[in-house]
Amino acid sequence: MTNPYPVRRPRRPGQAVRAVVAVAVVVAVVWPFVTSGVLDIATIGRYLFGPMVLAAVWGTLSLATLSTALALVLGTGVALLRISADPVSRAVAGGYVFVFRGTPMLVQLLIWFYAVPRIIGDVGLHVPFTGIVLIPGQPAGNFFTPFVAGLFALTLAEAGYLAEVVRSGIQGVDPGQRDAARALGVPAGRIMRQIVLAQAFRMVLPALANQYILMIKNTSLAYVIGYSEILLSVSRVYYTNFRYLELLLVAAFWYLLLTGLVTVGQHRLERRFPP
Amino acid sequence: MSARNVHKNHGSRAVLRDVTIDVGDGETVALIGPSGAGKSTFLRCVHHLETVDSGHITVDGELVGYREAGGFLEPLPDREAARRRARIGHVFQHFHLFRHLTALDNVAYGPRAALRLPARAARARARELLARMGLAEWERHYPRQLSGGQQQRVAIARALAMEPGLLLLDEPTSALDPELRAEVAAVIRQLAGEQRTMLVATHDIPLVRDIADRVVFLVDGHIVEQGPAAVVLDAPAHERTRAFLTRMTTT
Repeated sequence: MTNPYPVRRPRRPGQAVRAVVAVAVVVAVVWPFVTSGVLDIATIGRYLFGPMVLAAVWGTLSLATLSTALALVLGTGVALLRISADPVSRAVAGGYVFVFRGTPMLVQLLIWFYAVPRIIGDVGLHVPFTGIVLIPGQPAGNFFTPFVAGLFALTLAEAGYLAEVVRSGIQGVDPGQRDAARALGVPAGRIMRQIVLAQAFRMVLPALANQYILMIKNTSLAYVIGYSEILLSVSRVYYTNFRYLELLLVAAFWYLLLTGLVTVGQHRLERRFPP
Repeated sequence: MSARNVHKNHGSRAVLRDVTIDVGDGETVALIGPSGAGKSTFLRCVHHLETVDSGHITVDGELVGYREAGGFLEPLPDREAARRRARIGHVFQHFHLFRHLTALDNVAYGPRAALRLPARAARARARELLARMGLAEWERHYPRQLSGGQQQRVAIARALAMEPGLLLLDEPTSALDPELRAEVAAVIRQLAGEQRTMLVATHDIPLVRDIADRVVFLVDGHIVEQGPAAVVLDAPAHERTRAFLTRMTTT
């Protein structure tokens, strides 16, 4: 039997017209830059896939990925301490989040690069009381390269944020889930890993992707300690040719590409691991 | 199972007062009473999911979450308490199936994580139980893809997978629509017929009639009346029991 009352899709009057207007506005804004010579397309083309920029893209991606991954491990530990029954653990974890989330990442980067090596002084290895030197002392600054300092700073700061994300996930798990596992006689540690954290991570997947995207962009802060990431590499070029807009667009292109890839990965994971 | 003079307070309010209940081997005891009477709390205390303030509860002659030390009861370390909890099955009103696991993995989880059975053996046992619940074709489904009645039957299979000496059922049919209630009640009737030791908290008086050897009527955390099912249900000694049963059977 045919349906006597087929339902019509809602009308969207002037949809085509509005689409054309939207495109026209974008073109109208961008076109003058291209035609007036303010924007030199050839410069963008020359540097977009240049070896220096590509190396810097790797620098950004590796630092962001490694620090986010380590921060997730550390942040989960801090989150577990924050909800523990032991008041000392809770206070330590609370203090950690307060300090590392409450100060700018930029300040923490500068501290790890400039101040920490000074505090540590020279580092070497020698056998006590004998004067036998195994590794001659050298300034700690040799160890705190821009990458290492950046990794410490970004990991520790990010762990402060992720601790709160993971904690919200843990507390969002239905207490009945834990009851059911306890009733089966599963020990507490396994319940936390296999039931509570397994579900908490699914719930906070969108928030974790958010933090990863933020981190990809925040690695640009490591510019100030001379870490060769995207922003530093394009700035080196525009200081010599003064093509600021073109090179910043090159940087923007790569950030968008990386964050776009993360977004795609996020949607795949969300489909694979529904909450 | 044997509970002696169990007391429990929530703040200043007593939720269980002097509760003494025995469940003999192979016996089914029904715990009835109005909402908030403390039925669930009592089951949770038996399983040591909650602590008691005084009194003691033994299952198979053994305290569940405590050990005796110089006239006091002392909480057991987690691993030891977990081992004793594993011998008791628990079916919850709202099922509490593990949301991130399939029906099969829900049933196989306990034997794997608590009894440390190899995956293959745990899954074989789980398959067999799901088949007995009439859910063989649903083993790959996640809880959210199952009806309430199916979820509760998976939850019963999950409890049975531990081969418990005592099965606690906490309002197993209350969260279900009438038609789904029947399929779960049928499973529970079958279990009662197998001479399992069960303690069932429920509002479902017809089910109680079918399965219970004895009935305990609980109001405001204390026992008003208990005795053989036929006596409590058909010739209750107390006015409150009579009023409750009339209300439950007329609505």
